[in-house]
Amino acid sequence: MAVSIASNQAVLTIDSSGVKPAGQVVNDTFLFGHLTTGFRGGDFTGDALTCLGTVPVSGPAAEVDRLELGFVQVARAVTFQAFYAGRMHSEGGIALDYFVPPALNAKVLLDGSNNPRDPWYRNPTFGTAPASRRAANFGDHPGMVVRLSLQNRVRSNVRNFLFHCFMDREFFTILTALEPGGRPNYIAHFQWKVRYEFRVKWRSGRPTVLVNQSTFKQLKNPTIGRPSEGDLQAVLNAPAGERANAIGKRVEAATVTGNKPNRSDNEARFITVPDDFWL
Amino acid sequence: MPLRSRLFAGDRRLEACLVDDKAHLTQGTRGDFVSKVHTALFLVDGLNVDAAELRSQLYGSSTAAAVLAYKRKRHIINKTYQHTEDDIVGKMTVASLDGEVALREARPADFQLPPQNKAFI
Repeated sequence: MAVSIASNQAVLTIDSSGVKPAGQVVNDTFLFGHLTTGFRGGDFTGDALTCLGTVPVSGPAAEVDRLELGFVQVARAVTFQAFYAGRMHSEGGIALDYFVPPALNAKVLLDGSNNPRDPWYRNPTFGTAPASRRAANFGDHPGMVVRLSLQNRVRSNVRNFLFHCFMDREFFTILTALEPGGRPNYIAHFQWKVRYEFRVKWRSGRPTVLVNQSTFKQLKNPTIGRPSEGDLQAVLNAPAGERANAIGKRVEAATVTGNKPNRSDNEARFITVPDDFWL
Repeated sequence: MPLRSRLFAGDRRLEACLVDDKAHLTQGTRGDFVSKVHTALFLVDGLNVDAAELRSQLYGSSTAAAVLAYKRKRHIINKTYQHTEDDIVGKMTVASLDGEVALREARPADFQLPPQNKAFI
């Protein structure tokens, strides 16, 4: 007798009460976007969004014991741009566009934390819940890190300063069961998004005015089964390989050291630079 | 030899400053060429000037202070008639700034980019 999973009775209990998008300047070098809970001392220390997933599981004890229950997460990179300006018009401007080729070639990425085994977001730990239910925990804290200044290549390498940045990412968090040698059984999922958006003004050479327009939103309530979105299917069919975090480090480096369309250095400032950007 | 940095080269006023005492830049001077000096001071030594002077392209008191700091650091003194540095951009100063800007321009941008490992947490 095989293991039976009552997918239609799966429950995902999401806790986003500690999610409050905010920004912090770290070491006068980077602007961090974070979700407040799990961010301390200028670094990410824990999860902000958590979820408990439970589902009734029955069958021979030995087989149930071998069943892994955990979460798979797929991240959709929507947009990530940053804009810089010189102190005055003649010192130019720089635009960064991270989520386009060649810096980023695939917008749907398998996500993971702490170098998990495929296909997991984190390696599952065995958990039980009342009424013969198996349980799994999930937690995440997607952040954003942007450089506060860059040197303008077409204006004598003079430093330009961040005045606006935004990043949109969507996440599909999926309670998943996996029998040894089997394929992932996507039991239930929910969808959420984080948009970080900050406008920065500089006073006496320091980034002292931070306008926070960031948002968190749960886009889809817990839904039985696998996500139906077409652009996710290839990753869901073969959920393996490098995770979004590792890819992201390369994307950042490729963008800031790259060329158009990821990075463009301009002789003039953008017209969107506020008059009081630099005082 | 004319000015060679991309920032200064071809600017008639700064080219004149290189060879003509009457074209020296002093407090109260205003124009595009002053902005270029502002950029040079910031680029080479990180010397910032008052935002109002930046916007109005004015060689004001904070520009003069930045020029003096730049010259003191390098002991730029015309010893034929001076014992200490002044806050004027003359032949020696414009040549010095031009040379240092040209070196900066020849180096790749963000030559010492700090590491960044947390774009996607």
